[in-house]
Amino acid sequence: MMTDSHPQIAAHLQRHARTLYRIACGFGRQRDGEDIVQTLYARWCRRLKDEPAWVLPESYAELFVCVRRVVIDVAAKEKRDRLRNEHAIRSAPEGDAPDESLHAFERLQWILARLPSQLAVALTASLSAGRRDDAAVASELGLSVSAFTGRLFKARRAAEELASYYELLSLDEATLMAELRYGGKTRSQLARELGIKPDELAARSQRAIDLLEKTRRAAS
Amino acid sequence: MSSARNHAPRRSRLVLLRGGLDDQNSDVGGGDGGSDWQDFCRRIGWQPPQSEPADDFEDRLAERLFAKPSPDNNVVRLDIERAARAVGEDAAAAQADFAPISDVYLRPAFGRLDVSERLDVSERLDASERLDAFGRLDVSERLDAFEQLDVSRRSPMSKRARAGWGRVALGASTALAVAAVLLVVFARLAISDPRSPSASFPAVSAESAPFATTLPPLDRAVDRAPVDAPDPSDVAPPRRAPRHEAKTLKAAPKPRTSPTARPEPPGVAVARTSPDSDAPAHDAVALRAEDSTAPGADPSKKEASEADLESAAMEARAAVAELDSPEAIRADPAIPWAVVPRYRSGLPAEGTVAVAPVPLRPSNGVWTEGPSSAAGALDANGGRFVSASWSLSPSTDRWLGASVTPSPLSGAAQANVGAMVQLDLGKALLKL
Repeated sequence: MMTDSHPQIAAHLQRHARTLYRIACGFGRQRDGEDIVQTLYARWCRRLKDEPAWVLPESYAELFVCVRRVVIDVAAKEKRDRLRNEHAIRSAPEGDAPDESLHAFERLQWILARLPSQLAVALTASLSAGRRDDAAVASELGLSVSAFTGRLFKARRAAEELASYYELLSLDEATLMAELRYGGKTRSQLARELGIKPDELAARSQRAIDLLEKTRRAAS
Repeated sequence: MSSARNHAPRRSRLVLLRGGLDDQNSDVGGGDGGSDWQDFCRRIGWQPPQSEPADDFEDRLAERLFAKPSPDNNVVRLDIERAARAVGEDAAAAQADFAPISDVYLRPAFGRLDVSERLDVSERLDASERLDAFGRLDVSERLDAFEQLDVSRRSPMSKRARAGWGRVALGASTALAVAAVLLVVFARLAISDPRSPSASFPAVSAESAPFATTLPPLDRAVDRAPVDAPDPSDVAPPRRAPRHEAKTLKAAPKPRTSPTARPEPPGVAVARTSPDSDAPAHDAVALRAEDSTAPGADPSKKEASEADLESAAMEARAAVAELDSPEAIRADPAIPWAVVPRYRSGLPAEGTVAVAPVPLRPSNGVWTEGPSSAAGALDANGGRFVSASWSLSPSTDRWLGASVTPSPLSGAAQANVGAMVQLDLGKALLKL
């Protein structure tokens, strides 16, 4: 064992390896979660070698971000491989697990990118730590448990709404609705950014709202 | 229950969610939140783990991260096993049982090793596999690898480089050998072929105008001319020998002041001696031959011309035989020596080429004289004046070249063929 040369890594591994594995699984990498964790630690070993003063990430939010980077790299590589072996993929059975996990990962990425930052941090920390560690996550974020619970509640509502946008609307409409709802911009600002008139923006958003209401009514 | 749950029935659009700690004990599905949390996670794309990792998860991970190569390492074990079996009696069985380490197998195994370990492992692999493994290292790791390696001995890159230089050296030697053979062949053709003298060279009298005395030296030679050198106009102009002149080949002693006698006509390579040398062997020999094959030539004249040539050659040999040995020629370090036709070196006429001092050309170009378009032109008396240009043109550091035109010591055929060989050593070495 060469743990003497990397005591920080060894200690970090004992503390957070399971959390990292859980996060990797949460991103849909159940089948290669161990490899992703190993890749992550290999990167950290290399960085510690280059920058001995660098501090390993400790918080749940940081761990979440680190694992997400590795998963993004792996997913991108899988996409390239899929394009390269398009014929082989075409012959694969429909509903393949990697496809589902990749789609789920993309949806999670889309939702987290459009959540307000405070809500996104609370949600990612909670996802990383699991519901059993709400108190620890609250202390990590510098919040009281009740404040964290309230923020997590809002984050869940927003994430569910964004998930409905993502599922029921086209990507453009979903993005428009997400910007209108959680972007923190006025309608005129958004219309200016999109290069459309406010009336057209209102019409688009109304069409999207109608479609969402219709779908919800049908579901209920 | 939280207050949100109590108010939920009164709000039509409020979704009932557990955001607090009250559902910690109602975990389902891996113990991470309740069912509604699990559903929420799936809706947003988060996939809670279905099972926890094994108890020794951390230990196995640490072992993979920090393990040293050992016989238990799959990569090394397979290779050691294959090598061990390959040298034994079961070599064929080893080939059958142990396939080459595949890329899929090698890549994750290498990812678990550090640089030194990768190198240790790669040493046990085949050359191709070693190169492949080396290619997987990033730049910094490769640099580390080179520091840890005796590059000249172990690095496949250095082996490649050494092989490349060996090929360069071999190619250069081959090119030089081919060039030498070509030079010898062309020189022999030039000496033995009596045809087509180069008319671009001026006719020089055999009696008064050996090359070194009548043709201009180089600027360097001019610079080195003695102060008491006679004025070039004082030197007797070349006198053309009459047709069927008995002496068509004659070596004339070169005056010490001769290099400044006359400007050099273009295209003429001047073989001259060191000004410190008294030996007439340093003088270049001007040749003039009657072209008995010229139109209208008399057969009797042809026989006479051949006899004259033979007698002249005998006289020349006798004169040269009195000279010191070629080794006794004192070399002027300021004058480069080069391979020249033997008859121009002042040495006995046997052979085709000799090493003699050759002046540098003053031209900026490599071959300023260019091809002789008027080669073989008749003079006023119907004879052809023969000269050979055989020179090195070191106008640059790396350009070396030589040209030769046929020299008519004997024979009857006419030819306007010359040869020029030029070699850019630098480019040739790079190409090789």
